[in-house]
Amino acid sequence: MKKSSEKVVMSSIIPRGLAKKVHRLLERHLPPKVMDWLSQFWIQTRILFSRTLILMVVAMFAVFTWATIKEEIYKESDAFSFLILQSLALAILLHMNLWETEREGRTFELLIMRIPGVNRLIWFKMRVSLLWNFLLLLPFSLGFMWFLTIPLWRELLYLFFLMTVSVFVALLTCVVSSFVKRGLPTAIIVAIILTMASSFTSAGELPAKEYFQFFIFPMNEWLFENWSHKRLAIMLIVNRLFFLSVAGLLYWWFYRRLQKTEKWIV
Amino acid sequence: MHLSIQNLGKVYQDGKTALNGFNWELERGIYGLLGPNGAGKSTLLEILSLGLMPTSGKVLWDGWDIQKKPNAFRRILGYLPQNYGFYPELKAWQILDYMGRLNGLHGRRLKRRIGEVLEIMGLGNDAKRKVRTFSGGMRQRLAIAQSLLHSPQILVIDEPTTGLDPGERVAFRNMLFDLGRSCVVLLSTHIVKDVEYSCHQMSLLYDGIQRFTGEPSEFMKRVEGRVFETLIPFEEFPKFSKEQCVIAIQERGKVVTVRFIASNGVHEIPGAQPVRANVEDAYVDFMRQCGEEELIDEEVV
Repeated sequence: MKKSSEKVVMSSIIPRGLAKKVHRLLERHLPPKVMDWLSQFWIQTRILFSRTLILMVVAMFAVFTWATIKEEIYKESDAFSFLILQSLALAILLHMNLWETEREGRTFELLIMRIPGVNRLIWFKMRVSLLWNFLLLLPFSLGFMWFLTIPLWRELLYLFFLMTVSVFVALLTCVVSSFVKRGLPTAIIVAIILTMASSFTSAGELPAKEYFQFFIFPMNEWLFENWSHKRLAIMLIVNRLFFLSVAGLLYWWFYRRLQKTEKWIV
Repeated sequence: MHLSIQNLGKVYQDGKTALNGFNWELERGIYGLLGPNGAGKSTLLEILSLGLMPTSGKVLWDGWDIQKKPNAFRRILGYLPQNYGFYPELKAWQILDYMGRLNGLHGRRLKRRIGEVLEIMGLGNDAKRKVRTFSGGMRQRLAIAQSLLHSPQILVIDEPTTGLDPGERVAFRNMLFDLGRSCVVLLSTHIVKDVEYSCHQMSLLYDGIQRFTGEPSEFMKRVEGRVFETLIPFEEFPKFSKEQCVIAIQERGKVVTVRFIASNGVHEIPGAQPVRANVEDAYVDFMRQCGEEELIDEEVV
Protein backbone atom coordinates (compact mmCIF):
# COMPACT_ATOMS: atom_id res chain seq x y z
CA MET A 1 0.00 0.00 0.00
CA LYS A 2 1.26 3.46 -0.82
CA LYS A 3 2.08 5.56 2.20
CA SER A 4 0.60 9.02 2.38
CA SER A 5 4.02 10.54 3.09
CA GLU A 6 5.48 9.34 -0.19
CA LYS A 7 6.35 12.07 -2.64
CA VAL A 8 4.42 12.52 -5.85
CA VAL A 9 6.66 11.56 -8.71
CA MET A 10 6.46 11.90 -12.44
CA SER A 11 6.83 8.20 -13.00
CA SER A 12 3.36 7.66 -11.60
CA ILE A 13 1.78 9.53 -14.53
CA ILE A 14 3.89 7.88 -17.21
CA PRO A 15 2.63 4.52 -18.55
CA ARG A 16 4.63 1.52 -17.36
CA GLY A 17 7.35 0.53 -19.80
CA LEU A 18 7.02 3.63 -21.95
CA ALA A 19 10.04 5.35 -20.43
CA LYS A 20 12.16 2.28 -21.09
CA LYS A 21 11.00 2.02 -24.71
CA VAL A 22 11.77 5.69 -25.30
CA HIS A 23 15.15 5.25 -23.61
CA ARG A 24 16.05 2.34 -25.92
CA LEU A 25 14.87 4.18 -29.00
CA LEU A 26 16.84 7.30 -28.15
CA GLU A 27 19.95 5.34 -27.29
CA ARG A 28 19.85 3.66 -30.68
CA HIS A 29 19.64 6.91 -32.61
CA LEU A 30 21.36 9.61 -30.57
CA PRO A 31 25.09 10.19 -30.02
CA PRO A 32 26.36 9.19 -26.53
CA LYS A 33 27.01 12.76 -25.43
CA VAL A 34 23.43 13.81 -26.23
CA MET A 35 22.15 10.68 -24.52
CA ASP A 36 24.19 11.54 -21.41
CA TRP A 37 22.72 15.00 -21.34
CA LEU A 38 19.17 13.70 -21.81
CA SER A 39 19.66 11.16 -19.05
CA GLN A 40 20.93 13.83 -16.67
CA PHE A 41 18.11 16.14 -17.73
CA TRP A 42 15.51 13.43 -17.10
CA ILE A 43 16.80 12.52 -13.64
CA GLN A 44 17.20 16.15 -12.60
CA THR A 45 13.69 16.89 -13.89
CA ARG A 46 12.26 14.10 -11.77
CA ILE A 47 14.07 15.46 -8.73
CA LEU A 48 12.95 18.99 -9.53
CA PHE A 49 9.29 18.09 -9.79
CA SER A 50 9.20 15.60 -6.95
CA ARG A 51 7.54 18.23 -4.75
CA THR A 52 3.78 18.49 -5.06
CA LEU A 53 3.90 22.20 -4.28
CA ILE A 54 5.83 23.04 -7.44
CA LEU A 55 3.42 21.13 -9.67
CA MET A 56 0.43 22.75 -7.96
CA VAL A 57 1.70 26.30 -8.33
CA VAL A 58 2.67 25.79 -11.97
CA ALA A 59 -0.81 24.38 -12.70
CA MET A 60 -2.40 27.29 -10.82
CA PHE A 61 -0.42 29.78 -12.90
CA ALA A 62 -1.56 28.10 -16.11
CA VAL A 63 -5.23 28.15 -15.14
CA PHE A 64 -5.04 31.73 -13.88
CA THR A 65 -3.26 32.98 -16.99
CA TRP A 66 -5.63 31.43 -19.48
CA ALA A 67 -8.64 32.52 -17.49
CA THR A 68 -7.58 36.18 -17.30
CA ILE A 69 -5.47 36.71 -20.38
CA LYS A 70 -8.34 37.95 -22.56
CA GLU A 71 -10.39 39.57 -19.82
CA GLU A 72 -7.81 41.54 -17.82
CA ILE A 73 -4.65 42.08 -19.82
CA TYR A 74 -4.91 44.48 -22.74
CA LYS A 75 -1.51 46.20 -22.65
CA GLU A 76 2.06 45.02 -23.04
CA SER A 77 3.04 46.63 -19.74
CA ASP A 78 0.35 44.65 -17.88
CA ALA A 79 1.47 41.47 -19.58
CA PHE A 80 5.08 42.17 -18.66
CA SER A 81 4.20 42.85 -15.02
CA PHE A 82 2.39 39.54 -14.92
CA LEU A 83 5.28 37.72 -16.59
CA ILE A 84 7.76 39.25 -14.13
CA LEU A 85 5.67 37.99 -11.26
CA GLN A 86 5.51 34.58 -12.85
CA SER A 87 9.22 34.54 -13.56
CA LEU A 88 9.96 35.40 -9.91
CA ALA A 89 7.60 32.75 -8.58
CA LEU A 90 8.94 30.07 -10.91
CA ALA A 91 12.57 30.84 -10.10
CA ILE A 92 11.85 30.65 -6.36
CA LEU A 93 9.78 27.49 -6.68
CA LEU A 94 12.26 25.66 -8.86
CA HIS A 95 15.27 26.57 -6.76
CA MET A 96 14.04 26.55 -3.19
CA ASN A 97 14.52 22.77 -2.95
CA LEU A 98 17.18 22.36 -5.62
CA TRP A 99 20.03 21.72 -3.18
CA GLU A 100 17.88 20.70 -0.26
CA THR A 101 16.82 17.55 -2.15
CA GLU A 102 20.45 16.54 -2.60
CA ARG A 103 21.30 17.41 0.99
CA GLU A 104 18.29 15.67 2.48
CA GLY A 105 18.67 12.62 0.23
CA ARG A 106 22.42 12.56 1.03
CA THR A 107 23.18 12.34 -2.69
CA PHE A 108 25.33 15.45 -2.60
CA GLU A 109 28.55 13.60 -1.72
CA LEU A 110 28.12 11.10 -4.53
CA LEU A 111 27.50 13.92 -6.99
CA ILE A 112 30.45 16.02 -5.94
CA MET A 113 32.67 12.96 -6.30
CA ARG A 114 31.61 12.55 -9.90
CA ILE A 115 31.34 16.17 -10.93
CA PRO A 116 34.73 17.58 -10.05
CA GLY A 117 34.69 21.24 -9.20
CA VAL A 118 32.00 23.30 -7.52
CA ASN A 119 31.51 25.42 -10.66
CA ARG A 120 30.66 22.38 -12.71
CA LEU A 121 28.31 21.07 -10.03
CA ILE A 122 26.41 24.38 -9.91
CA TRP A 123 26.18 24.44 -13.70
CA PHE A 124 25.13 20.77 -13.76
CA LYS A 125 22.18 21.38 -11.43
CA MET A 126 21.15 24.87 -12.48
CA ARG A 127 21.14 24.40 -16.24
CA VAL A 128 18.23 21.99 -15.89
CA SER A 129 16.28 24.11 -13.42
CA LEU A 130 16.80 27.26 -15.51
CA LEU A 131 15.83 25.44 -18.68
CA TRP A 132 12.58 24.42 -16.98
CA ASN A 133 12.17 27.98 -15.82
CA PHE A 134 12.40 29.05 -19.46
CA LEU A 135 10.15 26.26 -20.76
CA LEU A 136 7.43 27.06 -18.24
CA LEU A 137 7.64 30.74 -19.00
CA LEU A 138 7.49 30.23 -22.74
CA PRO A 139 3.82 29.25 -23.25
CA PHE A 140 2.59 32.22 -21.23
CA SER A 141 4.90 34.59 -22.98
CA LEU A 142 3.92 33.21 -26.40
CA GLY A 143 0.28 33.43 -25.36
CA PHE A 144 0.63 37.15 -24.69
CA MET A 145 2.47 37.60 -27.97
CA TRP A 146 -0.41 35.93 -29.78
CA PHE A 147 -3.24 37.79 -28.07
CA LEU A 148 -1.59 41.21 -27.90
CA THR A 149 0.14 40.90 -31.29
CA ILE A 150 3.61 41.70 -29.97
CA PRO A 151 6.34 41.56 -32.63
CA LEU A 152 8.80 38.68 -32.38
CA TRP A 153 11.89 40.82 -31.69
CA ARG A 154 10.13 42.44 -28.72
CA GLU A 155 8.99 39.03 -27.55
CA LEU A 156 12.57 37.73 -27.63
CA LEU A 157 13.74 40.79 -25.71
CA TYR A 158 11.05 40.18 -23.11
CA LEU A 159 12.20 36.59 -22.72
CA PHE A 160 15.82 37.66 -22.38
CA PHE A 161 14.98 40.14 -19.64
CA LEU A 162 12.72 37.69 -17.86
CA MET A 163 15.43 35.04 -17.89
CA THR A 164 18.01 37.44 -16.49
CA VAL A 165 15.57 38.09 -13.66
CA SER A 166 15.16 34.34 -13.21
CA VAL A 167 18.92 33.78 -13.04
CA PHE A 168 19.29 36.46 -10.40
CA VAL A 169 16.39 35.16 -8.29
CA ALA A 170 17.59 31.56 -8.75
CA LEU A 171 21.03 32.45 -7.37
CA LEU A 172 19.51 34.41 -4.51
CA THR A 173 17.28 31.43 -3.67
CA CYS A 174 20.26 29.07 -3.76
CA VAL A 175 22.26 31.29 -1.40
CA VAL A 176 19.36 31.58 1.04
CA SER A 177 18.64 27.83 0.85
CA SER A 178 22.25 27.06 1.75
CA PHE A 179 21.66 28.82 5.07
CA VAL A 180 18.01 28.02 5.75
CA LYS A 181 18.08 24.47 4.33
CA ARG A 182 14.26 24.12 4.17
CA GLY A 183 12.28 24.93 1.04
CA LEU A 184 9.31 26.90 2.28
CA PRO A 185 11.18 29.21 4.71
CA THR A 186 13.71 29.80 1.91
CA ALA A 187 10.91 30.90 -0.43
CA ILE A 188 9.44 33.24 2.20
CA ILE A 189 12.81 34.86 2.96
CA VAL A 190 13.59 35.34 -0.74
CA ALA A 191 10.16 36.91 -1.27
CA ILE A 192 10.82 39.34 1.61
CA ILE A 193 14.28 40.24 0.27
CA LEU A 194 12.88 40.87 -3.21
CA THR A 195 10.02 42.99 -1.89
CA MET A 196 12.47 45.08 0.13
CA ALA A 197 14.89 45.42 -2.80
CA SER A 198 12.19 46.45 -5.26
CA SER A 199 10.56 48.92 -2.84
CA PHE A 200 13.99 50.46 -2.19
CA THR A 201 14.74 50.93 -5.87
CA SER A 202 11.30 52.35 -6.62
CA ALA A 203 11.02 54.53 -3.49
CA GLY A 204 10.22 58.23 -3.90
CA GLU A 205 12.46 60.40 -6.02
CA LEU A 206 15.59 58.32 -5.80
CA PRO A 207 18.06 59.81 -8.29
CA ALA A 208 18.62 57.63 -11.35
CA LYS A 209 16.75 54.80 -9.68
CA GLU A 210 16.07 53.18 -13.06
CA TYR A 211 19.72 52.23 -13.32
CA PHE A 212 19.53 50.10 -10.22
CA GLN A 213 16.18 48.39 -10.57
CA PHE A 214 16.43 44.65 -10.72
CA PHE A 215 13.34 44.06 -12.80
CA ILE A 216 13.29 46.98 -15.16
CA PHE A 217 12.34 46.61 -18.79
CA PRO A 218 13.81 49.00 -21.40
CA MET A 219 10.59 49.26 -23.37
CA ASN A 220 8.67 50.57 -20.42
CA GLU A 221 6.09 53.01 -21.83
CA TRP A 222 6.96 55.80 -19.41
CA LEU A 223 10.63 55.53 -20.28
CA PHE A 224 9.81 55.57 -23.96
CA GLU A 225 7.78 58.74 -23.62
CA ASN A 226 10.18 60.64 -21.35
CA TRP A 227 13.65 59.48 -22.25
CA SER A 228 15.75 59.88 -25.36
CA HIS A 229 17.00 56.79 -27.18
CA LYS A 230 20.58 57.56 -26.14
CA ARG A 231 19.63 57.82 -22.48
CA LEU A 232 17.61 54.62 -22.81
CA ALA A 233 20.58 52.78 -24.26
CA ILE A 234 22.86 53.96 -21.43
CA MET A 235 20.25 52.99 -18.88
CA LEU A 236 19.92 49.57 -20.42
CA ILE A 237 23.66 48.92 -20.30
CA VAL A 238 24.17 50.29 -16.78
CA ASN A 239 21.14 48.44 -15.49
CA ARG A 240 22.30 45.11 -16.90
CA LEU A 241 25.86 45.67 -15.68
CA PHE A 242 24.49 46.33 -12.23
CA PHE A 243 22.36 43.20 -12.44
CA LEU A 244 25.33 41.14 -13.63
CA SER A 245 27.52 42.35 -10.76
CA VAL A 246 24.88 41.49 -8.17
CA ALA A 247 24.29 38.09 -9.78
CA GLY A 248 28.06 37.51 -9.91
CA LEU A 249 28.36 38.38 -6.24
CA LEU A 250 25.59 35.94 -5.37
CA TYR A 251 27.23 33.25 -7.47
CA TRP A 252 30.56 33.77 -5.68
CA TRP A 253 28.82 33.61 -2.31
CA PHE A 254 27.01 30.40 -3.21
CA TYR A 255 30.22 28.91 -4.62
CA ARG A 256 31.97 29.60 -1.32
CA ARG A 257 29.07 28.00 0.59
CA LEU A 258 29.27 24.84 -1.52
CA GLN A 259 33.02 24.65 -1.09
CA LYS A 260 32.51 24.27 2.64
CA THR A 261 30.62 21.05 2.07
CA GLU A 262 31.62 19.54 5.38
CA LYS A 263 29.67 22.30 7.11
CA TRP A 264 26.84 22.48 4.63
CA ILE A 265 26.00 18.81 4.18
CA VAL A 266 25.78 17.88 7.84
CA MET B 1 49.43 0.39 -8.45
CA HIS B 2 50.93 2.22 -5.48
CA LEU B 3 49.39 4.76 -3.16
CA SER B 4 51.77 6.65 -0.96
CA ILE B 5 50.42 8.81 1.87
CA GLN B 6 53.17 11.09 3.10
CA ASN B 7 53.07 13.07 6.31
CA LEU B 8 49.42 13.97 5.77
CA GLY B 9 47.82 16.48 8.11
CA LYS B 10 44.58 18.41 8.36
CA VAL B 11 43.82 21.30 10.68
CA TYR B 12 40.28 22.67 10.39
CA GLN B 13 39.47 26.36 10.39
CA ASP B 14 38.39 26.20 14.04
CA GLY B 15 41.93 25.08 14.93
CA LYS B 16 41.07 21.43 15.55
CA THR B 17 43.75 19.02 14.35
CA ALA B 18 41.90 16.13 12.74
CA LEU B 19 44.93 14.40 11.28
CA ASN B 20 48.61 14.72 12.11
CA GLY B 21 51.57 13.34 10.15
CA PHE B 22 49.92 10.26 8.68
CA ASN B 23 52.10 7.95 6.56
CA TRP B 24 51.16 4.77 4.76
CA GLU B 25 52.25 2.85 1.66
CA LEU B 26 49.49 0.87 -0.02
CA GLU B 27 49.61 -1.60 -2.89
CA ARG B 28 47.09 -4.08 -4.28
CA GLY B 29 45.11 -5.62 -1.42
CA ILE B 30 42.74 -4.75 1.40
CA TYR B 31 43.75 -2.22 4.02
CA GLY B 32 41.79 -1.45 7.18
CA LEU B 33 41.64 1.85 8.98
CA LEU B 34 40.59 1.49 12.59
CA GLY B 35 39.87 4.01 15.26
CA PRO B 36 37.15 5.34 17.53
CA ASN B 37 34.66 8.00 16.40
CA GLY B 38 36.40 11.32 15.86
CA ALA B 39 39.83 9.71 15.41
CA GLY B 40 40.30 11.25 11.96
CA LYS B 41 39.36 8.30 9.75
CA SER B 42 36.73 10.12 7.74
CA THR B 43 39.01 13.15 7.38
CA LEU B 44 41.74 10.95 5.92
CA LEU B 45 39.28 9.30 3.54
CA GLU B 46 37.85 12.63 2.44
CA ILE B 47 41.35 13.87 1.63
CA LEU B 48 41.99 10.70 -0.36
CA SER B 49 38.73 11.18 -2.23
CA LEU B 50 39.63 14.83 -2.91
CA GLY B 51 36.73 16.14 -0.88
CA LEU B 52 39.10 17.96 1.49
CA MET B 53 42.43 19.65 1.01
CA PRO B 54 45.19 18.58 3.42
CA THR B 55 46.97 21.32 5.35
CA SER B 56 50.25 19.41 5.17
CA GLY B 57 51.76 16.41 3.39
CA LYS B 58 50.75 14.83 0.11
CA VAL B 59 49.26 11.74 -1.45
CA LEU B 60 51.00 10.14 -4.42
CA TRP B 61 49.46 7.64 -6.80
CA ASP B 62 52.14 5.83 -8.81
CA GLY B 63 54.42 8.75 -8.11
CA TRP B 64 52.15 11.67 -9.05
CA ASP B 65 50.45 14.02 -6.62
CA ILE B 66 46.67 13.44 -6.59
CA GLN B 67 45.98 17.05 -5.60
CA LYS B 68 47.78 18.24 -8.73
CA LYS B 69 45.88 15.90 -11.06
CA PRO B 70 42.50 15.59 -9.33
CA ASN B 71 40.52 14.70 -12.44
CA ALA B 72 42.91 11.94 -13.44
CA PHE B 73 42.73 10.52 -9.91
CA ARG B 74 38.92 10.67 -9.86
CA ARG B 75 38.86 8.50 -12.96
CA ILE B 76 40.59 5.66 -11.12
CA LEU B 77 39.01 6.22 -7.72
CA GLY B 78 35.89 4.53 -6.41
CA TYR B 79 34.58 6.15 -3.25
CA LEU B 80 31.77 5.21 -0.96
CA PRO B 81 31.24 7.93 1.65
CA GLN B 82 29.89 7.25 5.10
CA ASN B 83 26.86 9.44 4.48
CA TYR B 84 25.33 8.91 1.11
CA GLY B 85 21.91 8.41 -0.34
CA PHE B 86 20.08 7.58 -3.52
CA TYR B 87 17.09 9.08 -5.23
CA PRO B 88 14.42 6.79 -3.75
CA GLU B 89 12.08 6.93 -6.71
CA LEU B 90 14.65 5.69 -9.19
CA LYS B 91 15.26 2.05 -10.02
CA ALA B 92 18.63 0.45 -9.28
CA TRP B 93 19.65 0.33 -12.96
CA GLN B 94 18.61 3.97 -13.46
CA ILE B 95 20.86 5.08 -10.61
CA LEU B 96 23.78 3.11 -12.00
CA ASP B 97 23.08 4.44 -15.48
CA TYR B 98 23.06 8.02 -14.15
CA MET B 99 26.21 7.59 -12.07
CA GLY B 100 27.99 5.77 -14.88
CA ARG B 101 27.23 8.54 -17.36
CA LEU B 102 28.54 11.10 -14.89
CA ASN B 103 31.73 9.03 -14.82
CA GLY B 104 31.99 9.17 -18.59
CA LEU B 105 30.73 5.69 -19.47
CA HIS B 106 28.33 5.29 -22.39
CA GLY B 107 26.40 2.85 -24.52
CA ARG B 108 27.20 -0.85 -24.52
CA ARG B 109 30.14 -0.54 -22.18
CA LEU B 110 27.95 1.17 -19.58
CA LYS B 111 25.18 -1.38 -20.03
CA ARG B 112 27.67 -4.24 -19.64
CA ARG B 113 29.24 -2.73 -16.53
CA ILE B 114 25.82 -2.13 -14.94
CA GLY B 115 25.00 -5.82 -15.47
CA GLU B 116 28.38 -6.90 -14.13
CA VAL B 117 28.40 -4.81 -10.94
CA LEU B 118 24.80 -5.75 -10.17
CA GLU B 119 25.76 -9.42 -10.50
CA ILE B 120 28.88 -8.97 -8.35
CA MET B 121 26.76 -7.38 -5.66
CA GLY B 122 24.03 -9.98 -5.90
CA LEU B 123 21.46 -7.48 -7.13
CA GLY B 124 20.99 -8.96 -10.60
CA ASN B 125 17.33 -9.71 -9.97
CA ASP B 126 16.62 -6.35 -8.36
CA ALA B 127 17.78 -4.07 -11.16
CA LYS B 128 14.23 -2.97 -11.96
CA ARG B 129 13.18 -2.36 -8.38
CA LYS B 130 12.91 1.15 -6.96
CA VAL B 131 15.56 1.98 -4.39
CA ARG B 132 12.96 2.93 -1.78
CA THR B 133 11.91 -0.74 -1.64
CA PHE B 134 15.48 -1.87 -0.88
CA SER B 135 16.63 -3.04 2.55
CA GLY B 136 19.61 -1.36 4.25
CA GLY B 137 21.94 -4.12 3.09
CA MET B 138 20.72 -3.91 -0.50
CA ARG B 139 21.25 -0.15 -0.54
CA GLN B 140 24.76 -0.67 0.78
CA ARG B 141 25.47 -3.17 -1.98
CA LEU B 142 24.06 -0.79 -4.56
CA ALA B 143 26.29 1.94 -3.17
CA ILE B 144 29.33 -0.26 -3.58
CA ALA B 145 28.11 -1.23 -7.05
CA GLN B 146 28.05 2.43 -8.10
CA SER B 147 31.57 2.93 -6.78
CA LEU B 148 32.78 -0.03 -8.89
CA LEU B 149 31.07 1.02 -12.13
CA HIS B 150 34.09 2.62 -13.75
CA SER B 151 36.46 -0.26 -12.74
CA PRO B 152 38.46 1.81 -10.23
CA GLN B 153 42.04 0.98 -9.30
CA ILE B 154 41.59 2.31 -5.80
CA LEU B 155 38.46 1.83 -3.75
CA VAL B 156 37.91 3.91 -0.62
CA ILE B 157 35.03 2.77 1.57
CA ASP B 158 33.90 4.52 4.73
CA GLU B 159 32.09 2.39 7.34
CA PRO B 160 30.63 -0.02 4.79
CA THR B 161 29.26 -2.73 7.08
CA THR B 162 27.34 -0.49 9.46
CA GLY B 163 23.71 -1.59 9.36
CA LEU B 164 24.37 -4.91 7.64
CA ASP B 165 23.12 -8.14 9.18
CA PRO B 166 25.71 -10.89 9.93
CA GLY B 167 24.99 -12.75 6.69
CA GLU B 168 25.35 -9.62 4.60
CA ARG B 169 28.54 -8.75 6.45
CA VAL B 170 30.11 -12.11 5.59
CA ALA B 171 29.01 -11.74 1.96
CA PHE B 172 30.51 -8.27 1.93
CA ARG B 173 33.85 -9.54 3.23
CA ASN B 174 33.94 -12.21 0.52
CA MET B 175 33.22 -9.58 -2.07
CA LEU B 176 36.04 -7.41 -0.68
CA PHE B 177 38.41 -10.34 -0.98
CA ASP B 178 37.69 -10.57 -4.72
CA LEU B 179 38.10 -6.81 -5.16
CA GLY B 180 41.36 -6.76 -3.23
CA ARG B 181 42.97 -8.99 -5.84
CA SER B 182 42.58 -6.40 -8.57
CA CYS B 183 42.76 -3.04 -6.80
CA VAL B 184 43.77 -1.14 -3.67
CA VAL B 185 40.90 -1.29 -1.19
CA LEU B 186 40.97 1.03 1.80
CA LEU B 187 38.30 0.26 4.32
CA SER B 188 37.52 2.49 7.26
CA THR B 189 35.53 0.94 10.05
CA HIS B 190 35.08 0.69 13.78
CA ILE B 191 33.99 -2.95 13.47
CA VAL B 192 37.22 -4.67 14.41
CA LYS B 193 36.20 -8.08 13.10
CA ASP B 194 35.93 -6.70 9.56
CA VAL B 195 39.57 -5.72 9.72
CA GLU B 196 40.65 -8.99 11.33
CA TYR B 197 38.91 -11.16 8.75
CA SER B 198 39.47 -9.24 5.56
CA CYS B 199 42.47 -6.89 5.74
CA HIS B 200 46.07 -7.85 5.24
CA GLN B 201 47.27 -4.56 6.72
CA MET B 202 45.74 -2.14 9.15
CA SER B 203 46.41 1.28 10.57
CA LEU B 204 45.12 2.59 13.83
CA LEU B 205 44.20 6.20 14.37
CA TYR B 206 43.57 7.85 17.69
CA ASP B 207 42.98 11.55 18.10
CA GLY B 208 44.31 12.23 14.62
CA ILE B 209 47.58 10.42 15.31
CA GLN B 210 48.66 7.19 13.65
CA ARG B 211 49.33 4.78 16.54
CA PHE B 212 49.96 1.52 14.72
CA THR B 213 50.48 0.34 11.15
CA GLY B 214 51.11 -3.25 10.19
CA GLU B 215 49.49 -6.65 9.86
CA PRO B 216 46.55 -7.52 12.11
CA SER B 217 48.50 -10.55 13.42
CA GLU B 218 51.29 -8.20 14.47
CA PHE B 219 48.78 -5.97 16.25
CA MET B 220 47.41 -9.00 18.09
CA LYS B 221 50.86 -9.72 19.54
CA ARG B 222 50.46 -6.85 21.99
CA VAL B 223 47.99 -8.98 24.00
CA GLU B 224 49.30 -12.45 23.24
CA GLY B 225 49.44 -14.51 26.43
CA ARG B 226 47.42 -11.93 28.35
CA VAL B 227 43.88 -12.89 27.30
CA PHE B 228 42.06 -15.26 29.65
CA GLU B 229 38.67 -16.66 30.43
CA THR B 230 37.43 -17.50 33.87
CA LEU B 231 34.28 -18.30 35.78
CA ILE B 232 33.48 -16.02 38.68
CA PRO B 233 30.45 -15.68 40.95
CA PHE B 234 27.98 -13.07 39.73
CA GLU B 235 28.32 -10.86 42.83
CA GLU B 236 32.11 -10.62 42.40
CA PHE B 237 31.86 -9.25 38.87
CA PRO B 238 31.65 -5.50 39.72
CA LYS B 239 34.89 -5.70 41.73
CA PHE B 240 36.53 -7.85 39.04
CA SER B 241 35.63 -5.48 36.23
CA LYS B 242 37.28 -2.61 38.09
CA GLU B 243 40.55 -4.52 38.41
CA GLN B 244 40.76 -6.16 34.99
CA CYS B 245 40.06 -5.12 31.42
CA VAL B 246 36.91 -7.11 30.62
CA ILE B 247 36.32 -7.89 26.95
CA ALA B 248 33.20 -10.05 27.10
CA ILE B 249 30.83 -11.43 29.69
CA GLN B 250 28.32 -14.27 29.54
CA GLU B 251 25.88 -15.08 32.32
CA ARG B 252 25.51 -18.75 33.32
CA GLY B 253 23.17 -19.01 36.26
CA LYS B 254 24.88 -17.78 39.41
CA VAL B 255 28.27 -17.48 37.73
CA VAL B 256 29.55 -15.51 34.76
CA THR B 257 32.14 -16.41 32.14
CA VAL B 258 34.46 -13.47 31.73
CA ARG B 259 36.96 -12.88 28.94
CA PHE B 260 39.54 -10.39 30.08
CA ILE B 261 42.99 -8.99 29.46
CA ALA B 262 45.17 -9.44 32.48
CA SER B 263 47.16 -6.35 33.14
CA ASN B 264 49.32 -7.56 36.05
CA GLY B 265 49.78 -11.30 35.42
CA VAL B 266 47.25 -14.06 35.57
CA HIS B 267 48.41 -15.77 38.78
CA GLU B 268 46.32 -13.45 40.89
CA ILE B 269 43.13 -14.91 39.36
CA PRO B 270 42.70 -18.59 40.22
CA GLY B 271 41.21 -20.84 37.54
CA ALA B 272 41.77 -18.39 34.64
CA GLN B 273 42.52 -20.21 31.38
CA PRO B 274 44.56 -18.60 28.61
CA VAL B 275 42.67 -18.23 25.33
CA ARG B 276 43.67 -17.24 21.81
CA ALA B 277 43.79 -13.47 21.43
CA ASN B 278 42.13 -11.66 18.55
CA VAL B 279 42.33 -8.17 17.07
CA GLU B 280 39.37 -7.00 19.09
CA ASP B 281 41.22 -7.88 22.33
CA ALA B 282 44.25 -5.94 21.16
CA TYR B 283 42.06 -3.02 20.10
CA VAL B 284 40.31 -2.83 23.47
CA ASP B 285 43.65 -3.02 25.26
CA PHE B 286 45.02 -0.33 23.00
CA MET B 287 42.06 1.95 23.60
CA ARG B 288 42.36 1.45 27.34
CA GLN B 289 46.02 2.41 27.14
CA CYS B 290 45.19 5.52 25.10
CA GLY B 291 42.58 6.48 27.69
CA GLU B 292 45.12 6.07 30.50
CA GLU B 293 47.71 8.13 28.59
CA GLU B 294 45.14 10.86 28.12
CA LEU B 295 44.37 10.84 31.83
CA ILE B 296 48.08 11.10 32.65
CA ASP B 297 48.45 13.98 30.15
CA GLU B 298 45.52 15.79 31.73
CA GLU B 299 47.03 15.32 35.18
CA VAL B 300 50.38 16.65 33.97
CA VAL B 301 48.65 19.68 32.47
